[in-house]
Amino acid sequence: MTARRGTIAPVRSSVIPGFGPTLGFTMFYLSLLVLIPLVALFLRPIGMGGEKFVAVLSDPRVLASLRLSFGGALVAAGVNAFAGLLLAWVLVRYEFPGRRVVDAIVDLPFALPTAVAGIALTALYAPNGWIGALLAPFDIKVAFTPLGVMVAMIFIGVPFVVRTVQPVLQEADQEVDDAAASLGASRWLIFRRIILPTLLPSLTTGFALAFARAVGEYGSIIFIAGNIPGVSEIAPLLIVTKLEQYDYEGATAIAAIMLVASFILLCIINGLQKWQQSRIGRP
Amino acid sequence: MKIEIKSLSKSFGAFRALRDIDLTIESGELVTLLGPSGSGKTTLLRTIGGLESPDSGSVWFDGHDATERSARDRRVGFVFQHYALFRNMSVFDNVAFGLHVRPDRPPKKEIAERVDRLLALVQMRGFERRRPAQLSGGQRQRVALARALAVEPKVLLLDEPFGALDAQVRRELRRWLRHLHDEMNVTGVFVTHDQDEALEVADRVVVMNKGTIEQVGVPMEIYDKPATPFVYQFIGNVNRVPCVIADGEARLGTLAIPLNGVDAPDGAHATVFFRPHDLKLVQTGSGTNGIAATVRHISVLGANVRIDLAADDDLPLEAELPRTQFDELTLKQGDRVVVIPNDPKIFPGTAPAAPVP
Repeated sequence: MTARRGTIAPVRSSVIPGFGPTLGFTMFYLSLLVLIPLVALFLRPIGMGGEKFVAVLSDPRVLASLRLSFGGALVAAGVNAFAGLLLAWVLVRYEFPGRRVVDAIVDLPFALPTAVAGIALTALYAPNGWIGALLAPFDIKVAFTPLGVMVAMIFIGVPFVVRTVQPVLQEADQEVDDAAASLGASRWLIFRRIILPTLLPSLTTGFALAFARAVGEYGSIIFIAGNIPGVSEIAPLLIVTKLEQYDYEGATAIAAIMLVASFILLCIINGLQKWQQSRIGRP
Repeated sequence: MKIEIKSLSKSFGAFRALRDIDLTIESGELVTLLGPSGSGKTTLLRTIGGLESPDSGSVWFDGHDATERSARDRRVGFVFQHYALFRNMSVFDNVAFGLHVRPDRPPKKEIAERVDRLLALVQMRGFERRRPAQLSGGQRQRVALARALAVEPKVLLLDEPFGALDAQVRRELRRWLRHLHDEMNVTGVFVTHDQDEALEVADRVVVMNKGTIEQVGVPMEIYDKPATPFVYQFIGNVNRVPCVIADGEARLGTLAIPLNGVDAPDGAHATVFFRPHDLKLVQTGSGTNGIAATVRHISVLGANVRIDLAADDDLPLEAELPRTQFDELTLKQGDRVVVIPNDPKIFPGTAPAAPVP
């Protein structure tokens, strides 16, 4: 495959032919579902003129919501990167009763309707909920604060890191750890210098996926957030709010900004991943 | 460093990998552990290296009990079948790793010099900046060896180090390793399932089977005087002929073989072992006593000729003769011959089928 990179011609001797039709379908499919809607999204704010666009984006409420959406998503993805690595490690490296059950539970945030998750989290973290009541004496409020937003973002991001790191960890040769140990390396050193570098690319992918999901998440957050303007209101909610007020241009302006920001962030993460991969000697 | 293994046992669940192993490896020796897969040879090696802890028994280094010492404190060099190189590091960093992680880390300049010397030793100079992925299998294993030697181990443990390489590279590296070992003052333990490799590389060979040691000896001893039917079958080709003991002799066709101290009563079953190249073939009708057989197939193997025979009860036999001897016999397919083993060895009981090495 790598030898073919950069050439447009199909692999002639391929067992399964059909480069033309499949590429055609791919382009058509991506255009219809992804590219055309995104282009339309950019054309709308252009139509409304620069002044209005700037006015929407300098609104403190909009800025606060964007900050919460992106900042919260970064924090949530970071927490998930750490916890997800730990989970994947336990699932791969150890045999214990109920391992399959734990493995299945990891996928639950995928399967659960987001609204259900939101209601469950709100009930738990509300000041009179099970966890909320425990935290109340310490004056920690989760529900209806930015912290609650992050809790929901963490919840829906759990599977991403686990599922990207797990196969790489499974594939990792444990003899490499043995070799390092026989050379005199401590456990922590083996983890830091041998294991972590090989996991970083997949960890970054998981981080990026969890981040993207958290930025785009709506259903599970709006219940627990309380949606106080300027405090715990996320950008997607603001878009919906503007739509409900028939402020289509304002909504698309926020949407366009989110799109650009997401795109830039994912590009950075992608570049980071490329760099990490080159470091572990993979093309 | 002298290694003593005392009544070592290890199980993985219900599988008994090592059963009460006793073995002494002298300082500076290169010993191979030879056996089929599942014979416990790798487990024994890993236990010596501290990568596996025994259920019972102990490992002694130079008279000190090292059983409880962790792998990082044993200062052994370990070389793995699949190289186990750190793929996120360059060749240089791989070799330097053991020096870097030491509590008494030498200065940078000294590390660079040592790595350079080691890379010269394994003929990998000029590859410092490459990644393991950019090297061939043979090159990777040489880097792995340099990495293991960097910490100046007193013991070098090699787990089928050439198992993943093709035959040509294997033979070269084998000779080269033997040469390298002679130059360095290190005790070597080499695991392999390849008998040629074991016999060529080793000072002494330890033949293992089902978690026990079958025989320990210098290569020639192992080949010429196998102690058990298993060793006989595992090392080299062998003909096995079942026979019955009568009048204190083993009866084989019209041949009577003296027992030579083998303890078997009259009427007992026994098996006669002899090597395909260690026998005489004569045309039937010369009146010589032996095993009557028919020539089934003749194949020329360079300087030798292999003759597949079938004894009268359809038992397959194999003979290997030098070309000159074969030409004198003027044999062809279907000819009747008499097989006379030169140095047959009798083991009581019926031998099990040969294991697949």
